Amino acid sequence: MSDTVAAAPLRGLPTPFRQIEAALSTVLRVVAVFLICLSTALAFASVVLRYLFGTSYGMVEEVCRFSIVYAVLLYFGPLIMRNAHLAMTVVTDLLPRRLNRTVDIVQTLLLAALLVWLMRSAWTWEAGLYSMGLLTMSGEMQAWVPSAALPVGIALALVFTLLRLIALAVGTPLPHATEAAE
Amino acid sequence: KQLRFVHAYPTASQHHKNVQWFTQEVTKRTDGDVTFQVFPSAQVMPINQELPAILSGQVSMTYSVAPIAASVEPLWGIFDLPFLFDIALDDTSHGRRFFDSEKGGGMLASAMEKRGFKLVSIAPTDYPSSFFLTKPEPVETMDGLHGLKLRSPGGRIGQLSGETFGYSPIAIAGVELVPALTQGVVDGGILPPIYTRDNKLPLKGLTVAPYNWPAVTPIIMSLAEFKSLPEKDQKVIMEVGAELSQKSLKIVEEQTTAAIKELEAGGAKVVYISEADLPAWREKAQPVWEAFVEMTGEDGKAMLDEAISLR
Amino acid sequence: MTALGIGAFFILLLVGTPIWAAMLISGAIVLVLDIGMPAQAVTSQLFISIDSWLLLAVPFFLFAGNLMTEMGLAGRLFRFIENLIGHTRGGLPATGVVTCAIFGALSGSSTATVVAVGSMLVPHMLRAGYDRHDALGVIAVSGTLGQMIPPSIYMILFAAIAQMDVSKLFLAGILPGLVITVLLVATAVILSWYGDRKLRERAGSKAVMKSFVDALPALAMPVIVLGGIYGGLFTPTEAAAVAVAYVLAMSAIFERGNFTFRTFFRCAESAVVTTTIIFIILGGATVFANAMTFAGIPQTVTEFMTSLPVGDHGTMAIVLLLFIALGTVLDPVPILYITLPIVFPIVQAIGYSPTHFAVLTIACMMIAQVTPPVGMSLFALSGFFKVPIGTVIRGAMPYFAALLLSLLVLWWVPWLATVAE
Ligand code: NA
Ligand code: NA
Repeated sequence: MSDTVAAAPLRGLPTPFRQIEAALSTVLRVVAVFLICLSTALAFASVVLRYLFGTSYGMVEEVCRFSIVYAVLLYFGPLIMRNAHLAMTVVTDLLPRRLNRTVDIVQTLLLAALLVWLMRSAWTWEAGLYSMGLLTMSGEMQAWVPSAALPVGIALALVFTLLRLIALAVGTPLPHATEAAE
Repeated sequence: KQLRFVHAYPTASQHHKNVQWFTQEVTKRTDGDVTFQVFPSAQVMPINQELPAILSGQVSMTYSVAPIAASVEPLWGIFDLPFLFDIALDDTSHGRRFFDSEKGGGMLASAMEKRGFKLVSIAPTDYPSSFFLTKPEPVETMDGLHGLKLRSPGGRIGQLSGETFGYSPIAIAGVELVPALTQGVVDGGILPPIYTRDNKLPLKGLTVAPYNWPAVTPIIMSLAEFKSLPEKDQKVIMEVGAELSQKSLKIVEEQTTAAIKELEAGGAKVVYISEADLPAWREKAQPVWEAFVEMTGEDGKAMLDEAISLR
Repeated sequence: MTALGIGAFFILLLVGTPIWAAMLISGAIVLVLDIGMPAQAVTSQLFISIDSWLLLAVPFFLFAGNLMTEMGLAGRLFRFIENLIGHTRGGLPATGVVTCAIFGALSGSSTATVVAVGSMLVPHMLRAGYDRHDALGVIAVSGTLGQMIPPSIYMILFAAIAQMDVSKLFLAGILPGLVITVLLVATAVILSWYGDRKLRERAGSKAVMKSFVDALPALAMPVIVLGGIYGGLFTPTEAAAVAVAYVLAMSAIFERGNFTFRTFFRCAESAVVTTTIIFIILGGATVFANAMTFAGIPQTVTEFMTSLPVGDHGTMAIVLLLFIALGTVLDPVPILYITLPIVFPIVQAIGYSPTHFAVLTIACMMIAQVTPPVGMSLFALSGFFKVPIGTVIRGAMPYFAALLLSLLVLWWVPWLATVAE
């Protein structure tokens, strides 16, 4: 499992798009890092609270979980941009460079279509939770608040996928899945 | 029509036996019109995801549990109220009257319909929970609870009950329950006897009392799917559900004493809160009852009054 | 339609579609088109499957492991082991194995381990006359030890899928982890018997003592994490959060030079990246696994496998070979998610101890990390040291053989896994 995905910069993405990509990536990185720190700190704090004050809050556990869920889904987009998701590229790596690129473009188009479909159904799900006014298990939070991570994350992933598509169309060599994972 | 029935309990549990009886009866009485695909042991999803999965249409129904149901409909919190239900080891009739009453079970059913669920049956699988400790010195007086760390289901009622009675309610995920008890992360839990016996939980100091009743386990179905069935099939499902409710309470009455005996034989020290002491405990619980009414408004008040008047 | 779904999975996988998407698409084909579920029932799984308290241990342990490596505690560990055994014949590669084993007890991640230990060990080995492939090979294989020696990301995932107690699995992995360590050290020593290498000068007892004291904050971490879990202080997930706090505190005290915000941020971000990769696969795999369950595939396969006239050991042999075969082309995370829902019931049906099976599974996943063409430990080293992957593979061969031997030992001596129960 790759822990050290190089922050592969996108070479040659047309300037306005590159700026959008860079700004969005930076914001999402900072937010995701904040969320993992929040989650870790709260999980640690709940141990301390239990020993020092003998208390525990179901809500704290939920915030720990939901922070990580948000971190993961918000980082989903940047991950797609770097093509850092795991894929089995044994076969496609054998293809000639140009064919490989075509395969990559088709893949990215397919991914965009998948994300549109996911986006629509995530929205239906989210709207259902909202209209029913469900609460989370602790009973202290509206259930639509954590689950909003899904439509938001998918929407951002779609934005990054489209950016990647632009970069591919312009002809920029992008990092390979396995290269990026190094 | 095939319905996907999920539940989180192992195939050896009473829960699963109840599900098997229910599904077989429904199929038989609808002449095979309604069949079931049963997925036990949380093999498809954990228990807290079953109700959302019913709403999203992934599955048709589940055999859930009151604290989980309370996360979608706070009125289910009534079963978490300390010492509200007068359940004796061999007499669950107070519960039965409440489930059958228009302002009890009826109110829960109509509240669930507003949320997109059909309440098919309230079929408890255990005696009410109380204080089960890992050390062989059970809680005998109210003061004995002070400072104990007890695993209890989350939620505001559970939190408030702890504050009121002076113990620390610790939320621990189901998968971590056994290690948490074994290794002493907590002093014990708010747990029921049959479950404790069946899962061989390492508990040695048991106070048996109708403290609260999270083992009230409802069968909940997707309202949309229920309505899509022909009326005669709907009727069969509700009939079998009602019969299961009666049947399951009888099983609890039969099993509770046996379970406690087995736990004692396994080295547990068991004490009972006597009839004479109960009023004092109930008195202490009043702020929790009031908080429940505050949380749930008119409907909660009506249900609470009904539960009290049915004693 | 079920066949179409499964077929789509293999085709998508083959043409290099991201694994999460391949699983999600084929699962959705079965669930929506065949079983008639609404689309939102599929999509919501991406949220529901990762919203889990147990799985929080994954980002926390990754975070702790990154901090160990980047803030310098891992270096102290290495210097101590090197002073202790670095001068013996085969001592340098053995130092690598032992450091990986101990580091594995601190970190849940193999990539962090190979990079951390590799960057310290490889220059020493080259100077002492070892070939590059020797140095990289030993690290590639030893780096996977951290998945057997607790805490382990794969064990957390295994426990989450099989609904087992993680702390039990952690305990079960200790002895097998030691067995593999011993076999790897033996391999290192045997290999070093041939060839002319400079032996490192023996460190004086004072130097050993000093490096030991320096390494104490790192050596104490497994004691705190595992001791805390088994001593009843906290649950495995909480232990992971405690580990992060502990590494931060120790680094703040002993590694002030490396204790910077920039390093901290990098460690946190790297943990987010890896967690995202794992959890997105998890989402897709949940959809896929649910589709298979609703379509009755695991039930059918279990029936078939248990009816084969090959006996229990024959069945287990098939399962292990399947793991190793899949391990050549897939990462352990998707392998666990794709196969366990189907294979675990089989193993239960033939009466194997779930703990024993978990240990065997983890051993196969260790192998998967070092088998070409897709092996994360191989990639990590070849990327970090800028050498062809073939060089790493060549050096890894003898250690890989030791790993296979370990799998056989663990298989035939179930006691090693179950004694802790
Ligand atoms: Na480890
Ligand atoms: Na491999």
